Amino acid sequence: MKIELSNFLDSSCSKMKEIVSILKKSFDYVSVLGTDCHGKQYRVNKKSTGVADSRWNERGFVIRAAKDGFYYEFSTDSITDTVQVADDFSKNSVKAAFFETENFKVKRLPIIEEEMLQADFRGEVLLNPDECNASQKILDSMNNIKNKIVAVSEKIINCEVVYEHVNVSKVFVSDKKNLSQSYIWSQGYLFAYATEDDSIKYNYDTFSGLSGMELLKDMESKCEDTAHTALKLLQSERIKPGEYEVLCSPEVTGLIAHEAFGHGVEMDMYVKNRAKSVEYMNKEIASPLVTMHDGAASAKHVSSYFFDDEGVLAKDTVIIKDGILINGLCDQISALELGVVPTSNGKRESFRRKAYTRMTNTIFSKGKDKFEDMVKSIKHGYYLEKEESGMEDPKNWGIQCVILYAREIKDGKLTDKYFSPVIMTGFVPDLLKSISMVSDDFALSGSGACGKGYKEFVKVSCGGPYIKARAKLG
Amino acid sequence: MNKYLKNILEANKELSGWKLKDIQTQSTEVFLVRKNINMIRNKKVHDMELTVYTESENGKYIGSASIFLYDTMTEPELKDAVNNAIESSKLVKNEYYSIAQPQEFIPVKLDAYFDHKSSEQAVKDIMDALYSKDTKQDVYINSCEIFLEKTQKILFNSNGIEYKDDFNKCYIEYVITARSNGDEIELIDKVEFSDFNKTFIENLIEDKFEIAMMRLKSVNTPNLVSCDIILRDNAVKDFFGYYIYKANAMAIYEKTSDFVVGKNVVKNSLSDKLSITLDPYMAGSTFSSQFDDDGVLLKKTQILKDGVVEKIWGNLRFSQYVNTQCTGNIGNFCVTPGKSSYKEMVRGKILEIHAFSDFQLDEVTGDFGGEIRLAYLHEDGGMKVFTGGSISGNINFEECSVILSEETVQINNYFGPKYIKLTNVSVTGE
Repeated sequence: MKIELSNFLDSSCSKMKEIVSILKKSFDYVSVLGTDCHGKQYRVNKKSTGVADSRWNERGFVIRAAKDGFYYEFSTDSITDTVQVADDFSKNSVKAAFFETENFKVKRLPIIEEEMLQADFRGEVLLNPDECNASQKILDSMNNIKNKIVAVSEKIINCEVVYEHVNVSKVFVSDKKNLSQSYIWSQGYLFAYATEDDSIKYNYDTFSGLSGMELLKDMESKCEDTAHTALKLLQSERIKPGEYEVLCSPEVTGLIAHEAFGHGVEMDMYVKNRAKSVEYMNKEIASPLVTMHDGAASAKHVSSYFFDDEGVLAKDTVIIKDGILINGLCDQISALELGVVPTSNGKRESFRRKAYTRMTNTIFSKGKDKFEDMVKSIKHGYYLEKEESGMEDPKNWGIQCVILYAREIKDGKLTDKYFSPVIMTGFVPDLLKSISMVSDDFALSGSGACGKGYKEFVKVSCGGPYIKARAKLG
Repeated sequence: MNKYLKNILEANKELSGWKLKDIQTQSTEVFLVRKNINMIRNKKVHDMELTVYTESENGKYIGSASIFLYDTMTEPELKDAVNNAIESSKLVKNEYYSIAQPQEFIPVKLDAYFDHKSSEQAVKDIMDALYSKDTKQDVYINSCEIFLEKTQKILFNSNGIEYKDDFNKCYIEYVITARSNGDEIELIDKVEFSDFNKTFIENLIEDKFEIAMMRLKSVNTPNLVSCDIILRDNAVKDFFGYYIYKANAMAIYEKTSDFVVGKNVVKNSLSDKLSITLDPYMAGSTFSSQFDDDGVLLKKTQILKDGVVEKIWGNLRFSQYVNTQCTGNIGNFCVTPGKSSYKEMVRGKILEIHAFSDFQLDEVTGDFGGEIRLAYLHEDGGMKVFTGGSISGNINFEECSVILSEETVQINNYFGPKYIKLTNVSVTGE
């Protein structure tokens, strides 16, 4: 089923063009990004139900213009009165002069150069969650999942089933570009809370993709496993701090790709001299088994758009090839300063926020090893199965990955001994160079959101194969 | 309130109630790299969030659904959106709860610097304060983003509530770089406040400069296995978040908390007795408000007294579910300081963690931990500086005691001990 562009944006195109036309008389570059994203989030737990618009919903415009090399932006939810909007924009854009003092100078950059381009992209899903009576079907399915989870054991004191879908519509208009795209992504979460004596533990599983209600079937097939693992975590132990051989699930592999390295090659960090990766360009940074990509065109997942929030068409960027760092990721404004070509990684949290260099679908390529052989090769180590969170450190290349649980591997066998939570730390090149086996599997996950610093949350996916490495665990 | 919307809501017979949060925001945003202004942005937006309620089975159940509305919606679009929300709410059958009734509301305005200045002038003043100590070659502000938002919020509901509040929010995210002999390190930090204090900003940056210079001297954290530690500032605030969550009516209703009034929640007998008060009107906090999103008027509420649960707090719905008097959602909290000074805390062998990459506390399980960006190991009157490795522990481990400092700090919506000492925490290193 094709996803149509929102009527609101369709009817706003002429006004967006009008604004570009008016402002182009006094600015060297003008673009307008229009967004209309709408969707719902459903939550069901043992005792209550919730239906609300998705927090990813947005409707508005961001106007960007440059004069004498200085870029100014204005975010607004309405461009109905184009003359007034253009007039306000012009008046506000001169604020650079107010802030420029002996201490603070305005940065002037080259003007964005674009080629003529008109293109439209419409995504497809199997089951459109916007269809008639979809809410009833979604809630029925979620209640069924909830019942299955709580039926697993009396020790499951509660569960949370979450399903969310967002219909993304965006239009980008500049002097030379006229682009539109519409697609749907969905995500789901299963949480199972288990208790015994005074202890409470939980497990969760996530689901995501460029899909519609079909995601609920995947959730249903996994839901009892989510509960069983929560029960196992009640007996989990704390890990003895130390350095171990580890086997990472595709989910944890993705977290490493994302936190350990993806953030480190976001080239707006190069502009600020904040990225250590500059020193390693065209040098060996990882095991020769490692090839890493990022791009909206690198995979089909939640961050697979047709053009980014600066109107640059999706690309597939090879970051590491056979262990050698060969490329970074770059938004358009940073590309102007660095004199490179943007890689279609300019993303905004919403029309309200600035565009930064952001990851899209960040992946390790698959290798040739078999999971079973990887387990057999470890005398004593841990299988890091479920990620919880991570934090970047692009300047100093420290890595923090919080793992919800790990399972012990002893004498080449995966045991049923669980450890929770586990914090993996280390120095990024050490970790990447220690990768000694890469499986021939591949999986992506894209639930939740990625921040930059402490804010600017955007949708990304990451993943890859199982990898074997050495890491510090605590 | 949009008259057309009001008419739709008032004419609908299926609705048992509604509330509308109406927020208008204007912002000025400046993005700096070193002392160069790389971009300036402004934002002017109007957000409306409508929640509709429908009752079923003669008031045994209540359903609700929330939607966002936009000024750019046509009248038919607005009507469709409201009707769809009503249909969604009819699919929800939650235990019944009532929505807020109007009460006498006397707006109190905390005096704020930002109210008397244009946004541009205020941001300029912040820039001057931030950079006033940035005069050295070896330690400096690498980059900085300043967001100043001026917001008007009005809350309406079907029972006649119409409460209005104006507030300011300043958010600054900044990166400090320090360098020596070809080595460079950085620290990233954020600060949020509703009122401008020049000295606070200047001291903050000076303090971070000092910490960044110390990180340059750091070596890898040794594998201490188990050690007493000191948390400070943001990590302390995050640590107490566990008790705020566990004393909340929603966590109790959903069985992720076993807190009840009268329960002693400080298990280690050597720990300081914890007292926590929620304070809706904390000066300088971006969370201060006289009313919450349900329209409940807020007042100061003590939730923990000497380590014992004094009051379960929460929003209108969950307070009714657990049968406790509703406090409303209060965004600020104060922790009563302890009697130990920082000087007393650093006696013996103890690891003081100045900066984490991201301190994490799991509010459900009480697990905490994080990668160490900078730590001082105090031992026998001397001090070593470390980086790397991690700590991990659990608030409820009986061997882990919690000592509160007498020194206090305010971090946006938190006021309380600046330091806490935890015993027997797992420390991973080289």
